[in-house]
Amino acid sequence: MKSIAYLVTIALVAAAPACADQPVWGTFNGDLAATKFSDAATLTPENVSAMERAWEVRTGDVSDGSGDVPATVWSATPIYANETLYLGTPFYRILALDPATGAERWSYDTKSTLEALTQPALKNRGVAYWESGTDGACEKRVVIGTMDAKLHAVDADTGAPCTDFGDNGVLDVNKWNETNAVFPFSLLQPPTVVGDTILIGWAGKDWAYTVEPPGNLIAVDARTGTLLWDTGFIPPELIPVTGTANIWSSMSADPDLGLVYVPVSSPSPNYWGGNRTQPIPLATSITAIRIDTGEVAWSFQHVHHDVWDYDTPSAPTLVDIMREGVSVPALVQTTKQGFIFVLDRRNGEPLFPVEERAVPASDADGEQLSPTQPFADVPVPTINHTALPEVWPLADVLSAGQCSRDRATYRYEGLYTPPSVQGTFLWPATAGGNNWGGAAVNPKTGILYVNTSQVVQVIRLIPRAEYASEVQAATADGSDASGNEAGFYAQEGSPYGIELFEWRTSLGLPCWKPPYGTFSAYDLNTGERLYEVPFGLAQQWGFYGLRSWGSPTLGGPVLTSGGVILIGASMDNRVRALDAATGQEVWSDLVAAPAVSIPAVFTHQGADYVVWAVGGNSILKPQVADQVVAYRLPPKE
Amino acid sequence: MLVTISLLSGIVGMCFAAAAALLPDTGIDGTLGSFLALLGTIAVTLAVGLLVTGKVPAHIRGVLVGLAALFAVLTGLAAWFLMQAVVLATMVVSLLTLLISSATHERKTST
Repeated sequence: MKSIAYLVTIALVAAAPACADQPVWGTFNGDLAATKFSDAATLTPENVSAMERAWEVRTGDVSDGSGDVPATVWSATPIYANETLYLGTPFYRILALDPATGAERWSYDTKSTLEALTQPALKNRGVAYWESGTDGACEKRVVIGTMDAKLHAVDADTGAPCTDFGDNGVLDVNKWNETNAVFPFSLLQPPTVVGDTILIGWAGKDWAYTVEPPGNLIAVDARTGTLLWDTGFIPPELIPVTGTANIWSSMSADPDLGLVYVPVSSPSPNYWGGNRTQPIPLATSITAIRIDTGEVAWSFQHVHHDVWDYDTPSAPTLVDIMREGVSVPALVQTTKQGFIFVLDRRNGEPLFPVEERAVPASDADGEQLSPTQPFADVPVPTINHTALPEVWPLADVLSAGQCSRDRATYRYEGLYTPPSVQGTFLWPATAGGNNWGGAAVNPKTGILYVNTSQVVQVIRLIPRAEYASEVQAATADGSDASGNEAGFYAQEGSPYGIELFEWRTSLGLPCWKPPYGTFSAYDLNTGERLYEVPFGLAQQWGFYGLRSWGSPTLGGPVLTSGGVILIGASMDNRVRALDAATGQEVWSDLVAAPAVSIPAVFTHQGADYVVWAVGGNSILKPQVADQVVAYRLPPKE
Repeated sequence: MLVTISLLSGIVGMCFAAAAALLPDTGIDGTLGSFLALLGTIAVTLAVGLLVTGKVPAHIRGVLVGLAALFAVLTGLAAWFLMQAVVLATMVVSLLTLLISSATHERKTST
């Protein structure tokens, strides 16, 4: 009984948006509501410039891909719980560190194969934490997934495997990968823990196949790993011809409502949908699922018949907002398209108008696009997709007019212009807009903070008969069947492969006018955008861009109750503190690579700490690292 | 005297540019830009070093000053965009002292 009461208390404190003053940073997004809000009150815009490094650790788990081990991509959020800092690494090890010094308390090696089975790189976004509320071995657990679909549970105090979980502490999630199993269920994003249930999504291999494993959400018992339920997102009759619609990103949950909110991705293949012309209502959606049964409570599809890979990229943010004088339990979803959908999280009804608007038609063989797509003008989208960004004159001059010629060559008729054989501008790019870093929100004021990338790509459909020869001509030795390095992807089983690349000059300059990245704040009570400022510094060949250009970003912000935004995410190897009221930078520090992660912000032994995993990501630039760096205000004399 | 200061400034700039290009975690280590800046500082130092020896024929001296000044300007510009304040400062000092020294030398020669 005591245990149940404890769990209920933990769940309420961790999840309820109105009570986001959690003493721990216990999940990927800080709490189950994915607020990324920390009650670290000592950090303010006035004093944060004094913040200094408390400690730094190099994990050794890093590869630039030049040797036998594939390159690493590390986007872990450290977890602070049990008065310990827990990290997963891209070599699939768990590190338990002293939060005050960085000293290692224990480590656990999954001994996972270091092969890039589904991704271009070894990838990890951290670990999950569960505790029962009673004392004893494995009553507190740290959980890590691997690219080859193994979920490991270890004792949080010692790092010893919890033998009652799965098979001696290892659950083979791939045993549920029974249909169209062309790749393993890669467990790169830490699972979500709600009460005694571990909720597992997985990542696959994008852009490679037409028929893939159908996406699902798997719920297992936190103690035993026993399957509780399994909810799929592809209609059964379509499973033989398509797949994915998976959950590769983080989730949020409201235990009071008994719902977990999952960001569902697009079906396969990503850039052509002639194989799946019937509706797939749960694909590219925000879906609410009952935690106890796995039943779908409601779903909001924000892209119909997705052929842009506009996956729902991040955990929905849960916050109570005021609408017409009434407090409403809301859910906020930032998207790759730049829309900010604000829904009633009880039933999925939009709290600001969402309008179905006509969108361009496709000329690809067999394609049957949806004639309309949902648009939300309030809050103002983070991306202005009413028009393609203008050609950047400097790049145009330096490329002898290449950018202007491209502009005339490739198709763009607004958001949701479909992929085409002639080439289509993908604006926003396939990585968004807004990606897995999501938004931070102040649960007390309903102000939302989000970083946005402003990147233009070109997507070109290549008829199957021409695909192999194009890849051979473009790749160095003609032997790379997938052609990934050169931007080619097979979409095997469909009439088209694709080429996907950023719209740049042959010298590598972006063809579109800056900014390349921004940071914005929104009042969710009114939908008003409070500010939008350039964020970060772009970098090419080492040269930094101007401040007004900003930088593309990967990773997310954290807000403190003292009014400070803490964010890495930019290309320029900096971690920063911003004044939440204005978005202006008030502190920064140089780190070993782009900090493509969400920091953990917590209070340990009376001091507030900010800890980043600094690992890099080739999407931003080809630089990797294995740095964990912690900051705090100087101790008072 | 001034040209010696220019040379010393170039050497300091070269050391800082080398550190930025070769040491880890400088934000620009190993990048094309950092090596261009390093090359620039080397070029400035070599050019000014030749002037310091005093063995440069008079008709070449002007060309060498011009080249050193051009390298200093370009390297300073690169250092600005590489956020290497010390390298930028050394290039400014090197350029200014070189130009003043050169002007003084011209005046002495003409009188």
